[in-house]
Amino acid sequence: MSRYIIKRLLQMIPILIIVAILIFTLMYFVPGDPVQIILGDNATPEQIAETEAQLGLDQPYIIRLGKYLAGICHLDFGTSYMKGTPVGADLLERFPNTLILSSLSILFTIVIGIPLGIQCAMHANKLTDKILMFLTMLGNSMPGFWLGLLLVLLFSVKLNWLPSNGADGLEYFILPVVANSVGSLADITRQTRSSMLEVIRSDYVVTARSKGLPENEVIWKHALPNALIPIITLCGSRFGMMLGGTVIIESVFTIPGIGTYLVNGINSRDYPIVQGSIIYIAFIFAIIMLITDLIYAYVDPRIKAQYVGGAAKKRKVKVSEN
Amino acid sequence: MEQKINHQDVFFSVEDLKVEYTSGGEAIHAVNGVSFQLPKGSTIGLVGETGAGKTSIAKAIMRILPDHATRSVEGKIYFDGQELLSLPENDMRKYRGKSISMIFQDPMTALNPVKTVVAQIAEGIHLHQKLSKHDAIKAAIKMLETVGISEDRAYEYPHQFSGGMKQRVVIAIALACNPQLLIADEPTTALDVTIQAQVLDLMKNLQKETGTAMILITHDLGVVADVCESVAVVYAGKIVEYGSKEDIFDHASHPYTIGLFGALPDLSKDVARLSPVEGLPPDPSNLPEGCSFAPRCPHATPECSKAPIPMTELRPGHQVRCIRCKELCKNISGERGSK
Repeated sequence: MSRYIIKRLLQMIPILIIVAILIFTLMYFVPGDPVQIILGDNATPEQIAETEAQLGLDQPYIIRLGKYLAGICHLDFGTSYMKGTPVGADLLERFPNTLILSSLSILFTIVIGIPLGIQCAMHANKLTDKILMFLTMLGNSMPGFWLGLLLVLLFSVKLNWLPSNGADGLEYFILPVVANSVGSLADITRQTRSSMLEVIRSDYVVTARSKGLPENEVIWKHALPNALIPIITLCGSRFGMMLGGTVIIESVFTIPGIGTYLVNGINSRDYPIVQGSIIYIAFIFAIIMLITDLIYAYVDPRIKAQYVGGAAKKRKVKVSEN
Repeated sequence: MEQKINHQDVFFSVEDLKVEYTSGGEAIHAVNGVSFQLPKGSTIGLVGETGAGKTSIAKAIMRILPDHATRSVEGKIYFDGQELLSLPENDMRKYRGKSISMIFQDPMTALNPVKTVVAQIAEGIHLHQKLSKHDAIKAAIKMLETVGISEDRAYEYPHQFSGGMKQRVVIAIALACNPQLLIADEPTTALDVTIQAQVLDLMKNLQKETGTAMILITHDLGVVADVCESVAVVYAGKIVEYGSKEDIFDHASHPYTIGLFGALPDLSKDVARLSPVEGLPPDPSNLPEGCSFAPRCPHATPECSKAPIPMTELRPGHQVRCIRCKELCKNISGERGSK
């Protein structure tokens, strides 16, 4: 198993390099000039040339790319054109906010969504199911920022229970987490319902029932573990996306997170910020996908056997080649 | 009152069991008034073709029919004097897996793929015998050894087992709590012939040791001859012939039963083709008025399709659901005599 993990971690290196090259090239071709934005419309050609030289923008593409990649290898993601601060440090400073928001959101999603989905599956096509399915449709189609604004209106402005913006303590995260989770909550509920429905009628669930187990145990211990794979997939990709920054939620609640950082960077053509953020997102996604795959193996022994079995097979082939 | 005493005499009895499914708003009559009795420690075979309602009978006894598809279950099932169908679910659970357990048809799908086999056996033991988890695992390993699986494979998952071994695990699960009644639903159908013999021997031996009564559901007459003391032939959700193994095998009287035996290849003769029972079983959502076998029956008369056919007792304990059975019987024994 550790072999598999090491292999996957090593595979991430070329992926990240390719992402770095791609995003660097894309930014090179994107219209809009950072120097123009920094200096404003009234800059003289001399000033422009001077700033370009300062930022190294006067050099040819290939040299700039080489320098950038060399920097990345030393974990140096460059400095922001506008603020002059190192991008790596900025990302690290903002990461905890995004991490707290995303982790709490995914936790909220899982803890509420899976039991709701199970309830739907157990009472499929009955009233409970129909009401919950209607609510998930509502949750899916309701924009998070709109719900966020409504929550702020009610809990911050009217009732004055919770702070409306900032990130100075856990209570600041309650409203953003709720607003951020509604969409995924609805998705997870639907996914849990449909994969539970597939499993709930299978023979081994009948076997479990025929042992005399109480219905709760049948559902949670026998049916759910078999229904988890698609749920884990969805949670993984949702979590990855959240960690990549949730621009709108961060803006509504003015949380200094990765999402707003990236969008500001794009608006001001601050190349190092955009490139650094994209590489960070790629890295986070790769890590989350690896964790997702590891959870698969933990949940389903057949998948684990594949991971281990793949390595064993290769070893056998090598032996026979020798 | 008399009836009740009667039920306490008989270890297990099913009376006028009816199971109705629903599918697309249509009622499907899967079981239509099945009654049989089973003395302690003996074995009855339920024989019939696919779709005759055998598995529905078994699941109705266990009360594990699928909720979403089952429209109604009627009748009475007495186990040791206790009526099962009217029990609250919580009380029924104490019987399930403990006093009555079931071996399922398809070992490939009957085991939970994400749990070790020993855990799947220990679960029931832990629940019913009030053993600690640790002791339950020990007992489960013992059970696995009884069915011929060594301890070092106990912590493996179902996908690491062959079909025959999986069926052994399924049997171990069913026998884990020493049930008084075992329902075996086509326990050998999914297995190849050599493994079938092994599994049957295993079940017979275990039954002898524990004195468990058994309901064996099968369409394999050879298996019935091997294992059962009495036989009920099921057709379209009804028992059409019921009696001891000798009654059925030596004096088959219902045209359907005769047809079943006729469809068996005779090794002593060189016949190019088998002789199947012509036609198909009736549509369970639209059963014929009278005898449900009449449309396929070579001896059917207009009389057969008029009213439901009652059971006729040919000999003590040998019942046949056919209005012409007595005359047919004579003809057949006449034919046999002439041969």
